[in-house]
Amino acid sequence: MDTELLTGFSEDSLECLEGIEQELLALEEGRNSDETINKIFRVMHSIKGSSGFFGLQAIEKISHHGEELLSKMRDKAVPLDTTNIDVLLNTVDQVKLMFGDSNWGEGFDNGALLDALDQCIHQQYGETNDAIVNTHFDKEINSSARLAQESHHNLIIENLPEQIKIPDTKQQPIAVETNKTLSAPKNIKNEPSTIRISVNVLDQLLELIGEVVLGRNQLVSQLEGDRTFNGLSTSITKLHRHVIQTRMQSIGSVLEKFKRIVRDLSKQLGKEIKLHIEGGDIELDRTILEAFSDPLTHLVRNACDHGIELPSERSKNGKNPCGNLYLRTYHQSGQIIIEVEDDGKGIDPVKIKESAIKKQVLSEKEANSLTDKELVELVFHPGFSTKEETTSISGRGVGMDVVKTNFEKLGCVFDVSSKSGAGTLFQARMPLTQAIVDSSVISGLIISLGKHKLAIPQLAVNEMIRLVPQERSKSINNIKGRDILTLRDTLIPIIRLEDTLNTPRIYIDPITGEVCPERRQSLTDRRKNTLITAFETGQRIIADRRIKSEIFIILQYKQDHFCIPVHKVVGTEEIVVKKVPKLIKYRKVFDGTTILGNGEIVTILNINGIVEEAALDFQQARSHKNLQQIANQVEPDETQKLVVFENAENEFFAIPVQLISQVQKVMVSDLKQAGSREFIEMHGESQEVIRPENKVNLSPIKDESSKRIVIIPNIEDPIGMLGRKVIDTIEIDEEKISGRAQEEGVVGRLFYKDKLISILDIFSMLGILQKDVSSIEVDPTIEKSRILLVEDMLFFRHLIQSYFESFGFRNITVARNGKEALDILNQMSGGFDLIVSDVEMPEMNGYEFVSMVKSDPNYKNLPVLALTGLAGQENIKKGLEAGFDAYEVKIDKFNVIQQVIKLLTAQILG
Amino acid sequence: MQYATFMLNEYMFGIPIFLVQEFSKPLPVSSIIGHDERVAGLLNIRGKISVVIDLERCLGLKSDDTVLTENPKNHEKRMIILETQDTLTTEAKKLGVEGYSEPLVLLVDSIRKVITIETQNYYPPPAHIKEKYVDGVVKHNNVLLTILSINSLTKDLSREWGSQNITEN
Repeated sequence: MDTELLTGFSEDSLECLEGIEQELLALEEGRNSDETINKIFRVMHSIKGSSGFFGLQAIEKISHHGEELLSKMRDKAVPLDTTNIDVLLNTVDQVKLMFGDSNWGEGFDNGALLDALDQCIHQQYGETNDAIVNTHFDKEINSSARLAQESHHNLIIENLPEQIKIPDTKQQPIAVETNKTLSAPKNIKNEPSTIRISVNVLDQLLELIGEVVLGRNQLVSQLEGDRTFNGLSTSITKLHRHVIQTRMQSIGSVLEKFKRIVRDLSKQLGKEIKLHIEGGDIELDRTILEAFSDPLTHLVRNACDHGIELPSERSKNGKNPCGNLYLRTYHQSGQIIIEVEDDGKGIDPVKIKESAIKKQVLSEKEANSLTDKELVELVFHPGFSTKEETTSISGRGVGMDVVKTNFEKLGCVFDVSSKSGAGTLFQARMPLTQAIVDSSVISGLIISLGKHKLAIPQLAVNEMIRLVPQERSKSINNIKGRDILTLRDTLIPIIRLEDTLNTPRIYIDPITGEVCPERRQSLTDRRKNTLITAFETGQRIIADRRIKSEIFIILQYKQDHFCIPVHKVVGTEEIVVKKVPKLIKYRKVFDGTTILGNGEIVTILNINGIVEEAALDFQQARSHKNLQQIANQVEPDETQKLVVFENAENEFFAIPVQLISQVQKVMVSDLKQAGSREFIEMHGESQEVIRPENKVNLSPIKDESSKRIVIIPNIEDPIGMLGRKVIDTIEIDEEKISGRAQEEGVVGRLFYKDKLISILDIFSMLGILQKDVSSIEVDPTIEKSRILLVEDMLFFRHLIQSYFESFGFRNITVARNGKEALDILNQMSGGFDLIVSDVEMPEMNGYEFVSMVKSDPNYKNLPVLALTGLAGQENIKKGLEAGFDAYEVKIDKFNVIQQVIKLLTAQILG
Repeated sequence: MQYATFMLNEYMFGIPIFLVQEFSKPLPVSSIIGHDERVAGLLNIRGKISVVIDLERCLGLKSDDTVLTENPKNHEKRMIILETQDTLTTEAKKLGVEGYSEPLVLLVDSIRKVITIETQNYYPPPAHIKEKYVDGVVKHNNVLLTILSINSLTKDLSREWGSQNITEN
């Protein structure tokens, strides 16, 4: 026998069987019964035929019976009820098993199944007849009739009604024949648009293309600028992307199988469970998907077994006896979210507490100090189960802790939330960046630490800072031997990679450049006395001159940060991730290895691994954060930090630090012109830049030096601004920003240490590039409208106020936060036509504020416009849900004023 | 069977010639941060990332403490690039030669000649030799040399670090 042919047949059949399982389940739900039955029938039929051809008698026999039952179903001789579908599902399972058997299922005991099939085949229709099936039945008549008509078997049409009223088995074969001839041609060939490729081939392809990319990278330095090479290089990039694509599968393929699992479980448990699959079109690499499958199965089984109650119990509690189980997948802010939610009995914190104490997981005192949420999270504690006795379904010794660990291994954040009596939600959030697999290409930041080079996935890098000795002594502190970096009022733990990896710290002598073991215990060591003096007298900390500037890479771990000091930043490079060899120690800390363009091999750092290895506990840190928030509220920040830049000699401009996302050094020669616009390449993408002197009244840079800086503002789709150099960061009292300049692009001017500094209004500067607002005209009737402006930062208060005023709005009242605004509202009841509010504010934020306003009957109809720096769909959604009438981003002046006019027109003129 | 012989410090060792893919002059090795000194680093051999094992250190024969890249004597050293289990010939597998699953490179002091050993000259390690990575001892021209067991060496290295290793899927 031709084995290759046989293997092909077996693989084909298994795949088809996989498919009809879903179809059968669909049938049971009463969907598409007509076409679906035909489809299932065809599969069974072809399996029967082919297995006969190959001489696989056992399979032939069982599929023959299956086919017969299906044909009766199709002809409405037997009903489409659960019993029959059950038998068919079992048949499918059995045939699948037989295909997996080395002996093609010869010698399997199929007696019981065959009996069951026979019984189904020979049952009289009336036996299980009921109303529902009957309606189905009537529907089918018409379609059968139509089918027959198409094939010009008029005789059968006439006969059909008869056939239905009095089921007559003699006529069945005719009907079967008709349909068979109809459906047979469709069955001959598989879809021509797809072919089957073994996963091994794909893996090899990926590995090979990875090597091609590596080779290309090594050639870049020699051949850069060569046109042929550039073309080839682009093709290679495309090719790589396509190869990656071939390994992607939609997550739906994993979720589909739960239909069957849930169906079987609910029957087994005597529960009614409806499974809702939402999303599922997210694509992930095969290996990652496979890794998701197990923990998800566990969650689903758990939800069916422990979560959803028995129908009787549900009815007693006033719930629909049929329980719901939701499987959801979707994208949210750069993360893939996977949720398993049930509307079952939820996790009872009281029960958990009792159980935890009983199992001595916690002492009674400890347990009492926990919040409900923390109690619920105890389900992740190893060896914890609240179900009185373990069952065959979910009590199999693997606890939720394993599920959590599995998800975390995939780089997910895994959470549970539950409401006793209402249901449980498990959520896994996976950052897209985590989906790094073998041979994928990522952008890596190459750094060096002593003689070692390391790569850090660019996406994990939050920012890099270089501390000059002066700045350094202020920013680095030491608590109990741990170094801490203070950056913009947050404390960031400093992790020494050398410590984490148990190697001597490396110190590079700043003068000789010699690499030697570090003798300092901490980064602050040599300044202990200086620190004490500073602490007690408030004197300025004097810089330690022996140290050169140091570079810190701030890394993002989930929503927290930590930083590592490095000796040098070598640059960024597109790197191909390769496996970490097994013989490498500390594999956790490394995500992979890669070969750089110069042939050097470097290891790629794994952020999760470092956090784990260094035993960082951000959870604990977070629980203390509230304290700091309270502290922030006590001292509202009335000072403004500005970064001062020099443009032309002795001409300075400043931008609030919050508005800057990064400042990067560039060369004038790198600027490229496109018409009147200028662009520069940053991180592999083109970035538009403008020169401030072209937008506001500043002198152009006369300096012949070729070095410039690009300031990238912290807004969406930013446009960079060129400057000559950064001078300083200054902190000024907001009130000092003198008079609102009546000048486009400048918020105000101030003197600082005898220097005149113009504070730029980047919004209007960049706004100029967008749309011309001068075309907007304001109806004089709404010019008198009274606007309440709520904004915490004085800077923006001035900015927005003056902007509105420029359109003729004079009645503007300002408040610094939600609370103040409410007070004003209450004092001047009915005094406003529109509220314009920021979202992020101290004391009371915009969401809280707007929901307070909207819940007050007096202001229910008062329009509230959210004006914020936070764009993004979720923010907008959240804002609109909270009660804002509209949502605009501060930068978008054109839309802002249009929206204001729109809201006011509606409000005043009705 | 044929063995490739080499010197470590002043001792002579051998491994089955089937395991040897090629001999090479020392190539530049990329060191790994925080790594055990028994592994000298990583080497790019035709696109495959290979682990370089410093045999002297593994066997505790190293007399001086200088690291590989800084030792002036290094240019005299040699590298033995090994076959992996996948690239071994069927003949080698039949003879019971086992390779490692990933590319490995051995760092040795010098390469000596390839010798043929008859089975009767192959002895189990004498009782007082406590060396862990010895497969056996062979006699050639009345000189005894040690046959290294790469298998037990790699097993040992990965077991020792096993606690830090992520589970293999």
